[in-house]
Amino acid sequence: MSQILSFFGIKEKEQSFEAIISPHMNNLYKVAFQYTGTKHDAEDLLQDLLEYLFTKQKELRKIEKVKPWLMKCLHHRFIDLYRKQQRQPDIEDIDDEKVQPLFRYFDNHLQDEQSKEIFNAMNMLSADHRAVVTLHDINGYTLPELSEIMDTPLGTLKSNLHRARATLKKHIKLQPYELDVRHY
Amino acid sequence: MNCELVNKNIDELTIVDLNQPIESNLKTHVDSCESCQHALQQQLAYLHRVSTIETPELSAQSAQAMLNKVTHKNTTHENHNSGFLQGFIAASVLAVSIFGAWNVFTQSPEISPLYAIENTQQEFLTTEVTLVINVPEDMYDADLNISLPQHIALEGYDDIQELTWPVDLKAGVNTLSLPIRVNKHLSNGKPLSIMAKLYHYAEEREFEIKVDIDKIQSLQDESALITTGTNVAYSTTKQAPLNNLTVNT
Repeated sequence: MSQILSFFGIKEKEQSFEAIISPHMNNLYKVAFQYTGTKHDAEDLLQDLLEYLFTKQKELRKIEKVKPWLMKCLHHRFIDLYRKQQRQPDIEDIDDEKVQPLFRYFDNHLQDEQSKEIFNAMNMLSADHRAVVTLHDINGYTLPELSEIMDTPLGTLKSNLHRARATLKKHIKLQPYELDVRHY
Repeated sequence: MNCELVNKNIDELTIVDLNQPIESNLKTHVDSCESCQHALQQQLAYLHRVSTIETPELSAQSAQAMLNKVTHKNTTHENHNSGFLQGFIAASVLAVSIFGAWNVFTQSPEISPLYAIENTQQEFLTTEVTLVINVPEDMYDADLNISLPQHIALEGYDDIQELTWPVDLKAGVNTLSLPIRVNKHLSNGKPLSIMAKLYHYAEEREFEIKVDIDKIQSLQDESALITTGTNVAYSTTKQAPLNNLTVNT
């Protein structure tokens, strides 16, 4: 259709920023939550991402596969915020109480004790390890897809995934999985 | 199939494999090897746990509010250039680009005779440099980090050796300048380096700015002899830049 319109010199009406982003908001928020572990930090991360994406509207409209591109942007933003957090010492707020550092505490609003345990264990991971677990093990992205999203070689991803899983397994109480339950 | 191969296979299992039959040769080995059976059970239990993790949903109202915030903010501030940087460093400058896409080069110095006369007899050399960064597109929310060597201080901030501040780069040329003070006696003419890092999302650019005390001193001495005919750039300050450092991205 766009080719036909352009042939007649008619421009297709551009999708608005909201129209492009809205369908992905919930998914982005969920991944942001899995990265950061709290609702507040997830919202901050997503808001930062939106600010960035708003400046990239021309590029955004040219992207064919928006979802992986958004995941890539979110990942970069997460790494950036994590690095900023690492560079800054704990800041004291106006009540002289230590402000809890980002990405260290899971959200107490979670009802599920098992999920709390997983988020708590994920706090032991580095940003890269946390990202690879989030995207691969929780969201089902393949390693080649992650290689694109995270700009990381496959070998490094495999190694990071192995180490991250090993760390998590140490901190999560796992019930033995009944092999017979599975369908052969 | 030996244990090593089984472990490799187990490691490559994903949540998709939770509902798939195990490869027959893997199952044959696992049935006869207790440690591999345990490893497989652990892996499947782990995958099952993380795949059922509770993650909150973003309500439609919250999503809309977040979108409204960014679109409204950027519409009202569309033409507002928050101004890049308030300052930077000094002296005889040589910068090295670490990353390929960033080209750094220096321009010939311009000297203010007035300023040089004022400072030639002092213990400290005070000067100013202008850093020019060319970026092809807007780079919002970048961070600039400056690390100063022991004998260089920011004018008015003697105790600060390192500082980081957020910057918004607009597409095109962004300039910044910042006065520094060099203790010429303590430095003993040794070359000093100021390290600058620019962070933007997952990217990081680092460049080194070499400060040649002798060169600054000699330039200022020469300029002290000139009374007329010198172009003084940046006439809003007495301390004209000795060098411009330009960075292209």
